[in-house]
Amino acid sequence: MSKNWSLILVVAFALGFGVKTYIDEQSNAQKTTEKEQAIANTTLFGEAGKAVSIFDGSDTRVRVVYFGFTRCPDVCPTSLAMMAGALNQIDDEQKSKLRPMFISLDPERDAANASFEYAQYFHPMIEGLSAPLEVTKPLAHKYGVIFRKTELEGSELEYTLDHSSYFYFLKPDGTLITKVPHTLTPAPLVEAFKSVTSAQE
Amino acid sequence: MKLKAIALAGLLLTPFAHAKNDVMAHDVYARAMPPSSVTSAVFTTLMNHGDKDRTLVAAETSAAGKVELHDVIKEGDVMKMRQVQEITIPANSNVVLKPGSLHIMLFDLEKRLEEGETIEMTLSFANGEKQTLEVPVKKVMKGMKKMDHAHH
Repeated sequence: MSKNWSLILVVAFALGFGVKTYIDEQSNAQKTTEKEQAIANTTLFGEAGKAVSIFDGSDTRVRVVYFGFTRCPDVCPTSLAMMAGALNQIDDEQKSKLRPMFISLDPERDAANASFEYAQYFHPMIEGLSAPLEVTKPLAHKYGVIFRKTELEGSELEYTLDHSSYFYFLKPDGTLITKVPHTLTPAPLVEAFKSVTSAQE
Repeated sequence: MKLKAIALAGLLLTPFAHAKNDVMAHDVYARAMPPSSVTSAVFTTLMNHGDKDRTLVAAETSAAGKVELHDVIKEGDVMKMRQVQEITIPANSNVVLKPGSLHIMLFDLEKRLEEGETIEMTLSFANGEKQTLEVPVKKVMKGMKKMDHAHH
């Protein structure tokens, strides 16, 4: 008799546990899909504050994304100069398959049009975009972008944003194709431009 | 008489011996400032032709309210810009100040530096020597081009 009871208890526990795990997984899966859905629908703002849906599927070009901020003293302007230099080294057909963009992670200081003008300064192909952090943060996190504020004692900068510096090559739906680390010459970007445009038919 | 002439010549030449610039700045330029940016930086290759290490300790220009020496370091995936107190140019060697690395940082600029302009900058070394440079303002890709040629 006590053996049966034990058995029933074990079965009940297993059932309960199974159901809980199943429900958790379902809600996690739902959360993930919601997150992905939100990223797929990402709308940022560019020239004159115009809304831009960056993962609009009707545009088949490879997105080349650089996250930064216009007050960035060295790393971002250097990176965008390298991107511009690389764009100047590829032909028109390759260019037509690329959609380079600069996304600001400092919306407090970078209004949409300021981001646009900043990006345009480096190359007319580079779109400059900005949006509230609740939009750009999940996007940046998806690709592993690191951004953190650091106080600089004694320096005129007072604080700076330490950040990772990668160029992310994305499919039109936002899937990562490849990423190019911070570079002080355009060469690695030229190479990546050539390989993603030749792969994309 | 002859001795006097030598002594006089020696006396006259002494200041030149002190003023001899062991450190030469090559390919110097300031970063043209994109819209919205509030800082600029000066890049150059500092060659030390002397037998002693030389140390750059400060720089100043009337174009900027504050000038600092900076370096960019890469820690894992994160790029960090930090102030440095000095930049040493080893004897018979050189140090390259370039984007993404050591540079002279300009703050509180009177106006946005634009391509084609020139600013004057004075470098101060640990031995008390000062050197004034004419610094053209260039976009980074153009400023770097000259360096590329030097390497090929």
